[in-house]
Amino acid sequence: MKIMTCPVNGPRAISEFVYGGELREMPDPATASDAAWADYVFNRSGVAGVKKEWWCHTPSGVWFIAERDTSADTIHRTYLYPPPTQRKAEHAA
Amino acid sequence: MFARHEQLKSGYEVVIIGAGGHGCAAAYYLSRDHGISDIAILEKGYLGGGNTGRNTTIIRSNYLTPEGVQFYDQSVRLWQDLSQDFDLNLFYSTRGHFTLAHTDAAMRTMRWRAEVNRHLGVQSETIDRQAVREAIPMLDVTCGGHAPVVGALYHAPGAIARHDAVAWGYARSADRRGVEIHQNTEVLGIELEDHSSGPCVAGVVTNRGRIATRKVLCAVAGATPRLLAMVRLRSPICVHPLQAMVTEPLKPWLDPIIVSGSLHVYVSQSARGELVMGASLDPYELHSARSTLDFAESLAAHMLEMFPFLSDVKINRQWAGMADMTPDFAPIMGLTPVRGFYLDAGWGTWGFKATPIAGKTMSHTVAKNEAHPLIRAFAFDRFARYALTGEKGAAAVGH
Amino acid sequence: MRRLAPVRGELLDRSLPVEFVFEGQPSQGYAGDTLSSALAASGVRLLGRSFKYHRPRGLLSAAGHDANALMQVELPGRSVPNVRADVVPVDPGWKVSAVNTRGGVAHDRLAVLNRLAPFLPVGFYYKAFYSKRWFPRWETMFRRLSGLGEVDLSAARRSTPKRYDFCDVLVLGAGPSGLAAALAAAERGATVLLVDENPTPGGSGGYARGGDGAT
Repeated sequence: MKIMTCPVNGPRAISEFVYGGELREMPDPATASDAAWADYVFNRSGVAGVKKEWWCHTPSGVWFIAERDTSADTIHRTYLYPPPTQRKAEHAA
Repeated sequence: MFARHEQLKSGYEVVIIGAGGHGCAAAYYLSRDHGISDIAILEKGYLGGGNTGRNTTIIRSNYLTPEGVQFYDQSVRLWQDLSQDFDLNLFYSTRGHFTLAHTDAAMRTMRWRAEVNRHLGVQSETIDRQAVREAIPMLDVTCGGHAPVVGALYHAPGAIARHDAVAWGYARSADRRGVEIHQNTEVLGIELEDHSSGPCVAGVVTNRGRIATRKVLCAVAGATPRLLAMVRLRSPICVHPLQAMVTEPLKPWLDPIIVSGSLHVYVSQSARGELVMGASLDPYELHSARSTLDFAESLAAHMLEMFPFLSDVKINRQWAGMADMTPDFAPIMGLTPVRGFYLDAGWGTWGFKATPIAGKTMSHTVAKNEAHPLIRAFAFDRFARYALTGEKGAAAVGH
Repeated sequence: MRRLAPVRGELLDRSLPVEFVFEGQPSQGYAGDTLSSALAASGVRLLGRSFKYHRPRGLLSAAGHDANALMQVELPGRSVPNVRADVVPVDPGWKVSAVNTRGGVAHDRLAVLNRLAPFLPVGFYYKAFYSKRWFPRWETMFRRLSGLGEVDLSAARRSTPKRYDFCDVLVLGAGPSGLAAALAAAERGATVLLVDENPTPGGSGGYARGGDGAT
């Protein structure tokens, strides 16, 4: 990928962005078992596929989610956190 | 170089997935030291076409943890006799290895490494800026003014070798002992049986047929997550591309191997005269061996900080491999929760130098169904126990 | 002199002679000549030696594929390795010699390796001199024999300007196909960047300017 679309600033050269790791559900640290916590801290999904990832547009400091195919290296879409379906639920409530 | 087999047998005592340096080495030591030669090595592509054929060929043992140092030191000792063992010139060349330090904090890490190394009988020492200048007179010790060299970790046994040849050497020697090497053979699934003690390996399904076996050794580097999914295992492995490039051939001017953590560069000059250069990983997960322009540009810029006279030298070729990274920059080796499924993975950017010792220790582990003492610190379950083997300070550049 | 008659649109400027030295001998060409074309025009056929057996080599393609016409070029202030003789235009004052010879391209002492060729087949080095005692000596010799041009350790760092651009369509090659593609894309409203490695566009459209029968 050469161009990524920052949800706030629009399409920018990839050199302006920093990868922040895969978006993962964090278990409640107060109630998670040691094994579940270790699994969250260390283990990864591993296999290639379309993943939701944290990315930061460093010139503006915008953190957002990118859905990226980690084998074809193409970006499907980018949006601010939380993902759109969650936001709809919030508006509905 | 080795026999072609028209068909897979219906079963083998051991199936090794991955005909890179590690897989072929394990097969060799299994047949030579443990009397097991009913082995099939399955390779999806061509022999040595994975990371074995894509690294920058640096061999050293100047690591940080006692477990790491002992492990890599045994590897260096094996490397030194390998050409003779194979009757094949691996071009194993001891050049001396300099890890440049550009800050006081870096020098502290170098001193730590030197002390651990020496305590375990490995030749390493810290040297000051003046000694660096004398040893590498053509280096600009100010590094363009941005990151002046403060000192370095000098490791005399540091060496380079012809990377393809080690895969060929192990493969040919294993083949001579009856091991079957099957290229263009992709593993599509691994059959498990559920026992009271947990799942265990029953067979391997490939694109050329099914094989019955009770022992599978998985040595596939960047393809590891895909294989682990077949046995329903999760791991910390995250795959990143690691790029490299070479210049056109030049008359010899650089004897030692130079590494700079701050500048994210490692470079050596091969016997053919090419400068073989690498830098840090692409900083995002990607299961692809594609190359980028920004890698070539930024590595070239950092090379010019150290060696400003290289402006006119042309880059001939660039390529990449897929590095299977772990959180502690140490490999994952040994038994897994699936009985009969042995893992040799998590080699990130530090796998080539370990080729001989990985093969040797994994052969012991597979033959005896028990982890070799040298690899116990690299156990698959160490993350669940929060018992990491922290080698980030010595394994890679760009931290 | 083996020059063709002047042709309209040629890359040469025959009003600007260029004097240079090749292998210790004075030579000349015109502005716009590559090293290969200037030397060919002067009747010099031997441009280099093959990498391993040091066999005599000359013009092959004159189109950027002549891997055995690599030169060491001394400019004021620096010596440049592996200059492609069929690509790079020659400048006045250059001192040029073929890379990887001992004693010059005409009397390369390493041409003896050609006579040893039957004993040095492809990959022979994988089966030779790998004993611990011999290898260091063998490798030192091997390293001196291989490698092509020489790095000038005193050369100053050169900075080259960089530009960034964005476009809808990038066309690589400004020959007839590339020009047609670029025009077609532009006519549909795309911003087009047309790129070619040669000094002028036209590609194969500019071949045979001198006509088929020109001598």
